[in-house]
Amino acid sequence: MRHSVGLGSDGTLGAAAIKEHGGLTLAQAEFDHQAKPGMPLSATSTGQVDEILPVEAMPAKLVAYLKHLRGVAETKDPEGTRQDAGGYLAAICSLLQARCGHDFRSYKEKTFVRRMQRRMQVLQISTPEAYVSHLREQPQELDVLFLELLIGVTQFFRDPAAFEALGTSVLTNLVQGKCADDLIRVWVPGCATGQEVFTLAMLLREAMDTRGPTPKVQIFGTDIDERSIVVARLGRYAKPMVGVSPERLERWFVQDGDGYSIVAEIREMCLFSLHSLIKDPPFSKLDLISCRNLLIYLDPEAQDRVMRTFHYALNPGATLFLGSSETVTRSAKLFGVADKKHRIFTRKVIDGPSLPDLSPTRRIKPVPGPGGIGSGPSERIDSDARRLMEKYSPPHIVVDRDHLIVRFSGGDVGAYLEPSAGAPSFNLFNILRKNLRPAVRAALQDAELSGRPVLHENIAVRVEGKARLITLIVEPMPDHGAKASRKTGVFALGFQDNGPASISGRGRKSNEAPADAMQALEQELRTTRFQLQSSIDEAEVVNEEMRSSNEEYQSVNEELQSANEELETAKEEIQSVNEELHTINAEMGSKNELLTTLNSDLVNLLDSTEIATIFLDDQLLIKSFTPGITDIFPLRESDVGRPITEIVTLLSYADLKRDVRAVIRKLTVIEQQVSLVGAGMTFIMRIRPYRRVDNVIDGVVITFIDITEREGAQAALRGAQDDLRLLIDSTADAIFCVDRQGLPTLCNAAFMRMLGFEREEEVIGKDLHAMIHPSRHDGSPYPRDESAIIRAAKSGQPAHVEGEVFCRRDGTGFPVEYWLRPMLRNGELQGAVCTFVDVTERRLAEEQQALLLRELDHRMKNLFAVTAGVVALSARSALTPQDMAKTVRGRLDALARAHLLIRPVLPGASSVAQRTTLADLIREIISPYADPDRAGDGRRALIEGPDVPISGEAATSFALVLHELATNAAKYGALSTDEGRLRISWTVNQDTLALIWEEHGGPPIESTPEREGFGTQLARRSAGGNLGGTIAFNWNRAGLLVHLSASQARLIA
Amino acid sequence: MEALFLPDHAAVFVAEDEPFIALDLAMTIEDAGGVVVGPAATVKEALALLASHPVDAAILDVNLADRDICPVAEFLMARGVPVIFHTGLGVPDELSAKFPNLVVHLKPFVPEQLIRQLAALIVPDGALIVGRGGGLAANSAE
Repeated sequence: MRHSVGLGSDGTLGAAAIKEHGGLTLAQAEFDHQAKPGMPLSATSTGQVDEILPVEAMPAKLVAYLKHLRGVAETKDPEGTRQDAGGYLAAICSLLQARCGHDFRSYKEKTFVRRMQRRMQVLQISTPEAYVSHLREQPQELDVLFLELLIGVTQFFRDPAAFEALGTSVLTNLVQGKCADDLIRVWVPGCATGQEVFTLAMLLREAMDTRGPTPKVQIFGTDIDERSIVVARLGRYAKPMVGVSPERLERWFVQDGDGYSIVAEIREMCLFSLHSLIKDPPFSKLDLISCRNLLIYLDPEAQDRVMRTFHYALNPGATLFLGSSETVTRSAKLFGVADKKHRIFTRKVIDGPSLPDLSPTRRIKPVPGPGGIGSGPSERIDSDARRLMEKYSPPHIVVDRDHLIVRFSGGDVGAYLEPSAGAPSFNLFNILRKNLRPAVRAALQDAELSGRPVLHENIAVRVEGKARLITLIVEPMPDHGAKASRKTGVFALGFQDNGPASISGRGRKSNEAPADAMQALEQELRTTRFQLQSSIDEAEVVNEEMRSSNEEYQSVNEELQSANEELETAKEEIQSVNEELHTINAEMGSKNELLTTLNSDLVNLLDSTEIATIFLDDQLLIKSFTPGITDIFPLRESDVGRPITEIVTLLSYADLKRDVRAVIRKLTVIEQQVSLVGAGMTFIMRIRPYRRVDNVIDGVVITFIDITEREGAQAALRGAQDDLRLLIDSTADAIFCVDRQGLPTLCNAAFMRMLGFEREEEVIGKDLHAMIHPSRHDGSPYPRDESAIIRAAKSGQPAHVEGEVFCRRDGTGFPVEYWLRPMLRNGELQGAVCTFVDVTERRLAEEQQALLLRELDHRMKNLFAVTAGVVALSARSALTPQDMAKTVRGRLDALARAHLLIRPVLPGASSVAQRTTLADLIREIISPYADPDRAGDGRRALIEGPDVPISGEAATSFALVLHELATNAAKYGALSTDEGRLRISWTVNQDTLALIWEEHGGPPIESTPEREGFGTQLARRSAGGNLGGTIAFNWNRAGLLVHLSASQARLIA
Repeated sequence: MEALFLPDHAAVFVAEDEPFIALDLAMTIEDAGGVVVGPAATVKEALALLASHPVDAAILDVNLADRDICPVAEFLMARGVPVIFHTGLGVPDELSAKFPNLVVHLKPFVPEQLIRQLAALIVPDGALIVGRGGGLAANSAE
């Protein structure tokens, strides 16, 4: 009695082993928080856990279990099997068959009882009788019992030495003996969860490593437990992978979560199906059957049947691989030993069928003799001849090496046979007459040993109560099946009857009778004898005919039988093929399910995408399409199979046919933008080759992606971009953008113009700082990192900078003022925008303004100083206040007029046309006294001379001099009378202006004035002073003549 | 009411290119009893005059018709002649750098102040001659 406790995350393997030995397995219930998470789920799902309990309830269960074990101990034999259960097995088996459809009658009794007993222990039922009634009441217990009976332990490379031996001897030879077109077929009945199947697949694949082209392999794994088959089909196993070497684990498995999956290469070699070895017809033409540890569960009769099934299923010479405790001794006729230690056996060739369910009396088909090509007439002749010759040849029997009868001759062979009581047997020594047995055995042994014909003559034997002399002939026959065998396998055993053993002791009685009567009687007797003889002859003829027709019937019967045999064979083959088809069908079914799922996924995917898709074959026939395509091609389901070119479409695309051909021919992808005429829709059309899974090009797939909205948005965007571009290009301010590194990403037209660039490429992405901003306004180098632009681009801080200088492309600089704003996109800093203006002109204007202001200030001050002088000087000569006021006003007026005319000339400000000329000044000054432009005055004052521009401070002095002269003339000289005339003329000679003031027609001048008047004094001072010239007065009687010279430079400055 | 006078026949050099102002200055100095040398309108003229006429003091316009007054001012200062700069705007940087303690009189001039300054320069102890008739009226409200 063993008690095991399982620990660890996964006790599945251990649980299986416990069950194998009839133990009890308990699992922690899931609500127990101390439970190992993996354990119950994994172990219970395999059906190997008997009960799931919380930990607290386990001890009680264990105690009850033990108690039960002790209670039933006395009913067990020394091996622990109950002896009182045997009588109930039949009842349980029929219940099981009714429930599960499987017949366990052929199960080994001990095993069956042990498994049943275990259930009884779990349920704590003490008698088999009670268990049977429990089964009747609770049919689900039958399912549990069924699974209990099926529990098997399997693992990869179980018994590694045996698999190694199989691999090196059998599989290597098997692979070597096949060419690429051949098929290696292997059957693993009772494969459970498939480990054995995959083990064989791995070994086969490894055996094929050394070969070039490899034969195809089919390994059929079958079991009656559907759950195991499901596990096997999955091909996924939990850790640890017991028995698998790290190299194999690496090569044949892929890690899959906490387990391993068989690689597809191996998985594809294996087919799994639900199949009962006992109930269902077997597979056939197999090269190997691996049936390990299954036979041990079967009773001897079932084992025999299974062995015969295997014999039938295997090819001649093929291999049977059994478990370590199984053997073929009972079926030595069917299988020969190849490797006793590792239980590898070879199928023998035997005469006659081996499939157990068929009649044992059937014979193999007659082998046609040499030249016996046809059947019918020639065979008939043969059989006739044989029949005739039988009369003259001894009756005989053909036996094989195992002394099983394979042929009877016709004739009197029955005389030598004597069936014994019991089951019918074909063993020669079971049915041979007892008194013949020793002689025959001796003769056979002689023949077996010598391999030659043996003749034992005149053996005295009692046959049918008479002593006869018999010659025994044993002749070895050529055996076509047992090749390479030293011994002949088949012997013909003939019995030749040499007549009675002895003629001694035959007495004769003599009786005398009357001669006549005797004669008559003798005559009558003769006649009668004659008649009798003829009757006998007739009877014999009839008899002979009957016999011959009988033999004909026999031969027809034989023929029918052989036809029947052929049919049976065909039927067997069909059954096998059918079984295979079932297996394949089951695989196909599951694959089909997968495909259906995939297909519906695909259909849903195609329906849910709004991408219009159409599948065409290489003839442009429509294969399928998605609903979205109807916008472009008005397709219906019925259009499948029609050429796409027949479908009317608004698509503006004429080259579809050509492009599809191009795609198929070059296997490229064509992408093009197409639009629907009138609908205003735009699509991106893509034509790709339709590549089947096996990489064959089968037409094309055309997809249409609706980009109408996108196009519209893009057009709007383009418009907006164009507008924006126009806007930034049309502004007078220069604008450019830099990225975070300070490299330009955009610049506008004003930028290019101001900096002298011609193409944007000269700017975009270049180190702008080095190009336009290398130095500060004072000419010192401007490090890049200190540049406000770079800093703003990196920091995102806006800035306003003045007083810096940008450099044009030609190297010249100009003052700028610029503004920086960060560029943000989605809150992330992209760089900065810089707007700048060229402030050269503004600077100039400011400077000019300052200059002007200073000049104005200067002039104002000067003017006030002059005015003060005018007032002070006028006061000195004035007689009365009125006189002074008049003088002062006159002088100030002249100053004002001069100022009006003479504006400051500033650099770059005015044009020559606006300049005041000397003539203008003179006209202005003398106009209060004699306006040359006024009618009537024109003749009083004549002004003539070349155009001399006049400006500057000296002009006011000039104006004052003229004013003094004019007031003098108006008071005393030519302008004081209507008749007086004034002529002012000048010439320019190099730098000197020479002006002549000429009066006449006024009151005659008597003499030069004694005292020089103030006006004269002032004029003289001016001329010599800031006019840089001279003045000379000639007081002529006719009128004053004044010569005034002045530096022209002074007048202009 | 008292009149201001310059020392008898004190020679005052006047450089001024504006005729009205030049005459006014000259007459004001003459009224105060001084002798006017000039007025000179150009630097050239001024240097020519000064070469032959020793002077006691000078009133100089900063800009003359031909150029700025610097050569004249330097000439005079080199000889220790006190100078009043008569200017509307200010003294050229060149001069103010050279002669930090310049006496400046802003245009338009106020006669009494100008004479007082002149007199203070010519007679450093400040003894002004006051009183003789025909002198410059200290207060113009006669």
